[in-house]
Order: sequence, then structure tokens, then C-alpha cells
Amino acid sequence: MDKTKSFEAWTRRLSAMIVMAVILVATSGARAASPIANGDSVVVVVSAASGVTEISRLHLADLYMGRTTRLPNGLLAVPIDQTAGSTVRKAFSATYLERSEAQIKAHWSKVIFTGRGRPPAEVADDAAVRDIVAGDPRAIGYIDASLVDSRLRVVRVR
Amino acid sequence: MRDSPVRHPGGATAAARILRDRNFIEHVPAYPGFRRALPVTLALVCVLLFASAADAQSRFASKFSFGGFGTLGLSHSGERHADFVEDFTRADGPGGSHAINAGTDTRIAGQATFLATSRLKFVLQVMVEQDVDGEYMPRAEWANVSYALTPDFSIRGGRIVMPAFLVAASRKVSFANPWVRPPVELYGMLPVYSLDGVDATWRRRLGEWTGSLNVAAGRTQSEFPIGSVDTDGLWHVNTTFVRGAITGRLALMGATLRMDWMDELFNGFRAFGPQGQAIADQFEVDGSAFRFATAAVEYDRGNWFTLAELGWLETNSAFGDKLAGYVTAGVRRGPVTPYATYSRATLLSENSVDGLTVTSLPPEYAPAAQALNAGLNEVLLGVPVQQTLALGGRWDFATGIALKAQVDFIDMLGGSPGTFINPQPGFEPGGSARLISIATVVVF
Repeated sequence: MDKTKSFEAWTRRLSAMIVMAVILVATSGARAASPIANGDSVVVVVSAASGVTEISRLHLADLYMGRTTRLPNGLLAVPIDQTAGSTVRKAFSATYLERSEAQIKAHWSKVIFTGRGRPPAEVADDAAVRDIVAGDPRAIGYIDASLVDSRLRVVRVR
Repeated sequence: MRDSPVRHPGGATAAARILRDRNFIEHVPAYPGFRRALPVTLALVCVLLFASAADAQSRFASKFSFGGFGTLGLSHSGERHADFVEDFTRADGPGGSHAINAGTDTRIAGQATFLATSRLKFVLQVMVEQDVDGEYMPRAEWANVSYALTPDFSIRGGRIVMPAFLVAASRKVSFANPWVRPPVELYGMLPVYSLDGVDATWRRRLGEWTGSLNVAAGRTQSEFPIGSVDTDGLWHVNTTFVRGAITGRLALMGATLRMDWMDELFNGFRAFGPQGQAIADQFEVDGSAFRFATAAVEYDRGNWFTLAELGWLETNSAFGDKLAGYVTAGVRRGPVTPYATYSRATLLSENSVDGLTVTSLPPEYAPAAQALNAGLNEVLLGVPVQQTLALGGRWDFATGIALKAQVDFIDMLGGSPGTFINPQPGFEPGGSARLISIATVVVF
């Protein structure tokens, strides 16, 4: 390839990159304000009988993204998720996992088709999470802060 | 024949035939790919599906899960004198054979998982995509059983993933990846999705890092348009570390190649005495041991991400030694993810050789020697060396489905035909091409 051809080729590429940059800037205005609830309203809970009192944000994300199987106290964990698309799940994903639901779905599509893992079990609502977590010291879940009852302990996320 | 000092007719015939076969060079594969279809596995999936439907309320159903993924893709290449291919397992592609081609990226796959106990698991993945004959035959990509000795240590046997790359397990799951397809310069070097063998995986959390170590051993059987390429004595070690947004991965593998369709070329050289034997020893592919090492890093902040991967291949044969890699960066703006990738494959070994010293041979042997030299040089020059700048975007317009569009600006380097096959008159190795691809990608 002679120099002129190479120059032309790169000019075309540069143009394409500029077009892409323009599209990028244009779409940035269209970025919808996320309907994410205030993160403080969602809390991470375990059974009152669990020894877990705090967990790091990274550890929590590892549990919900299938990278670790254990709680901070070394026991096997049973993470409980809520229905995809629910407000509480969106808030949890954004606040604690720092990922949108679409990104979480792409992540699990990667893991599932390795045959190596499955996403956490999904339950219908906060009340279902409360019941499961209250009855299983290995379980960990998240609910609206206003719905915590005496059977549960709120885990401090650092 | 091996004992004879000079037996040129065999070698000359072989070389002439190889040169006459227009498809020879463009189909020299980088490495093994997939085994042929096992339609029976589709029947197995049907049985499992039926069982789960008939027994939906039972405990069986809760132990059984089914998922799938697919891509409906169209691509167009500006190089109209040859076909672009993702890797050399393909018979054709967009360009000379098709103005617009669906075969490059289109596929559908289903995966059934059966948890017999909390420790014992069966996985079957059946995929339909264009095969080496240009047909769409279902084949079992994965069919394995795994046993968890502990929650963090498991062993597996059967047909399992070939874990050569960062996105090896999901290289066909376009929904899981940023691009329409993984960069061909690196991933095309090893067009192998699965291996038949065993592996063991150990996971451990160290501080805020999660680490995993995977060791695999087995063999592969792959079909290419020009013939089959098998490997045996394959071993693979890879380790992955994740801390929040950061992922790092190192992998090392080795195997011995088994293929017979270049035997005539190298037997031809062996017929030319010590010099010919030395050349055959240096370049013979059948029985050669190769090593492949990769390193990858990924940083995903959620609203933007970057990943880079580098692979080093040493083949000890005419397939050459190569360094290939890519860098991708993208930003997520709501449902839209624009990205850019630069990828490149560089040849570390020579792409030509002097070969037999024709002048020192009796004149009647010269044509055969020249034909052999030309044949070998064509193989060396045919190793794909190219670079691509890819610009694209992904639009997640609904749950589990996304639309992707990508433009690849491809430069074949150093006179190589790159990842283009089926050359027609007018094709210039070492040229440039632009590839436009759109794809709808789903998981379900």
C-alpha cells in the first residue's frame, strides 16, 4: 500500500470516528434520567440469627454476580434477588452493584452459557424476601428499608 | 520413500497439485475448530424439553433449566474479489461469493442444564450455524457432566469449553460481548470453541479479589474446507482475577497438531536429501507442537469500559509465530453503547524462505524443487496478518435483545491475504477492505 492510499484510508477512518463522536454527543442529551430510587431506601438484610453484620460492597457484588459462594463469615451464601424490572431491584443494582439491569443481564448471559453458574433465585417482592431470609441463616437479600422487621438484621455495606 | 536420497516425482506432483488447488492457501487454517454435527443431540434436547413440560410441577422441572442465544446478522464487504471470514472454518463469506451474507454471524443455540443433585450437573449446548460445508447442521458444542467436590472446587468431563480467550465461553454469545464478533485477528488464530476432555476449576476469595484457576486437558477435532485438523495432548491452564471493575486473565496452552493434507508437500521436501529434510523438519505441521499464551485485562466502570487482550502463538511449523491483540473501549449512554476497537496480528517469523537450492541440483530436478519452494512460500505468505479499526454501536432496545452495527476498516499487512478466502482475479493480498455488519442479538 503506497503512502497516498494509506493517507486516504486513514482520512476516511478519521471521518468515521468524527461521525461517531458526533453521534455520541448527540445521544448523550437523550440519556434518560434513570428512575433510580434513592439508594438509602434499599437495605441489605440477613436473618437475625446470622453472624453477618457487615459486608464490603465488592463482596456483595461478587455474591450477586456469581463470583463467590461464601458470606464474609465463611458460610455458604444463598443470595436472593427480586423480580427483574422492579423498582427495588433497579435501586439495588444501581446502588450496590453499580450496574444497570441490562449490564447485569449481559453479565449473566456470559456466565450461564459457560454452564458454570446460575443467577440468584428471584422472588416476587419484599415480603417474600423477608420470609426467606428470616428462615435461613445462609440467605442474604435486599428490601425497602421501611419493611425491615425484628426477624432480620440490616447488614452494613462498607 | 523416506530412505531414497532424491525421489522428486512424488514431491513434484504433490507441489504441483497443491499449487493447482486454488483453495489451498486460503484454507490453511489457523487452528482446529469444531466437530461435525451430532443431530442426535437435538433429539436429546427435545426429550429433555418434553420431559420438563410434561413434568413441569415436579421436582424434576426445578432441577432443569433451559436457555438460549442467537444472532441474526448481515454483512457486506467492500472487497469484492475475495470473501471475508471470521475464521478459516468457513467455506465462504461476504465479498466475492455474496454481496450481502448472513452466514458469517447468524446462529442460534440452546443450552439445557440438569442439576441431578446439588453437586452433579449435566450441561448440553447445541448450536446451529453455518458449518464447513455451508450448511446449517445442529452440533453439540458442549456436552459434559460436572461434579462439585466442594462449592469452590469442581471437576468436569466431556465436551467442554476451550478456554483459550477472555470471552472464550461467550465468543458466540454476541449479546454478552460489545462487538458484533470478537476481533478476528486474535480469535481467528484459534477457531476452537470446545475440547473433548476434562477440566478442574478452583475458586477462592483473597481479600477483595476473587480468583479462579482452571486446568484442562484433552483433544480437539476440527473440520476446515481443506481438511480436518486435530490436536492431541492438549493442556490448558488459565487464571482469572476480579476485583470490582477490574478483571485480569492469564492463560497458557499447548498441543500437538495432527493433519495429513500437507503431507505431500513435506514428503516432497524429504525426498531432496539432507537439505530437504531439514526444511521439512522446520516447517512440517503434522506432529508439530504449538504453544499459545494470552493475557487480558478488562476495566468496566459501568458507564464506560475498556478491555485489551494479547495472544502469542508459537507453532514450530509453517503456520508461523504470531503476536495478536486488540484494545476496545466503549461508553454506555442509557441503552446505547458506542465502541471502538483496534486489533492487529503480527507475524514474528519469516513469511518466506529460500527453500531448496535449485542451482545445486541436477537440471532435471529443478522444476520439482521450484514447485516445492513455491508451495511452501505460499503457505508461509498465507498466514493471516492484518489490522482492523472497528467502529460500532449497540442499542439495547428491549430486555434480552439488542441491535448492533459495526464498520471494520481492514488492512491486510505484508502481502498477506489476511482473513480473506476464495480469491478471484483482481484480489490483491496486502490491500484494504471495509466490512459493514449489522446484527440483532438475543438471549432467552
